[in-house]
Amino acid sequence: MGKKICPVTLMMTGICIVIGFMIAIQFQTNQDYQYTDTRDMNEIRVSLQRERERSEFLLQEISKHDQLLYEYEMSMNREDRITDIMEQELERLRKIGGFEDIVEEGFVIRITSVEGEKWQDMHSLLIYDEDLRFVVNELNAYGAKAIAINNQRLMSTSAIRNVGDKILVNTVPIQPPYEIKVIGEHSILIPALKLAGIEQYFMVANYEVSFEVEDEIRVPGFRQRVQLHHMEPVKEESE
Amino acid sequence: MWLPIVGLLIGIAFGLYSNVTIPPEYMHYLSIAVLAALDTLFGGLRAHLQSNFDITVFVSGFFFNTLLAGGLAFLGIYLGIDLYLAAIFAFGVRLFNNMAIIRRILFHRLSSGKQQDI
Repeated sequence: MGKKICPVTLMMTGICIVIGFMIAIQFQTNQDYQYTDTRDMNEIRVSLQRERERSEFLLQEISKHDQLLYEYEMSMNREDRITDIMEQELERLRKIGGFEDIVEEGFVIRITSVEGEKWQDMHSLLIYDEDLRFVVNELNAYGAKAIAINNQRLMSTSAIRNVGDKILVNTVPIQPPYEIKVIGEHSILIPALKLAGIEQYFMVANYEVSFEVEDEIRVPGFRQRVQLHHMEPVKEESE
Repeated sequence: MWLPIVGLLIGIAFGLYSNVTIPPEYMHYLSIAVLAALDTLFGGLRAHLQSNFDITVFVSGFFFNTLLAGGLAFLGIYLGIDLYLAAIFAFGVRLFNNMAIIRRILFHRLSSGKQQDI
């Protein structure tokens, strides 16, 4: 080792350093390569099937445990408490279904005709059912909890349609000025309506729209009987 | 003889330590370049053992071969021909040839008993 280093060796060393550097970079870049799936379609299908079965099994387990939990809770509750729970549930469902009055934070949309227009007398109907449907659709799209048009509560089965020169809501004729009571986030719903162009929309028909936010607004429940023609309650099989 | 190996190790250590990576689309070029460089290195070693080593040929060969291989790979990608395979083939064959010659020379020296420092 104690010999003089010839320039050839130096050159070799320099080039070796460069080569080593290159090899290291190549190695590292190769390390970064992601693992590629080399399974064919069939194997993937089989593994997917296996995972699906597993997920189904887990879901069954969950439902079994839920059932157990429910049974335990039921056995802990006494008979009279069961009826309480059922009544509460019924109350909740009635509220969701729209059979109960709701008093919560909301706002009123008033659609009133602009005064001093003579030619309005010739057309008693300038607002059609579709105009109200447009408003209701916007409200529902932005998450209104409950809507009533002229105190007619809208439910999932409600219809708004023209009959003759009147608009029927829930088969009850309503007259202008229209007053739509809404329960929901006014900070979201009112800007959404304005964005949808509700004001310009009714401006064309010579009606103006005003909003009135209220902390507590009463939206009446659905008062009529609901007739279900094609639905029957499911009879529980006795175990 | 030891110094180039030390240099190689230094280079590898430096490369690993610096954590430099290149985009995967350039990996072809780099692999070819590594192969060309290795080929040149072993060619130089062989020439040195056969004592007809020329430093200018060696250095120019190193750069020229590396660049040529990279250019060939580049051209191949644009022509849709896997030209880098040609480079791999040529360099691979040459590498093995050089290795064989180096091995023979070293065995010959060991058997004749006269050790010559490189």
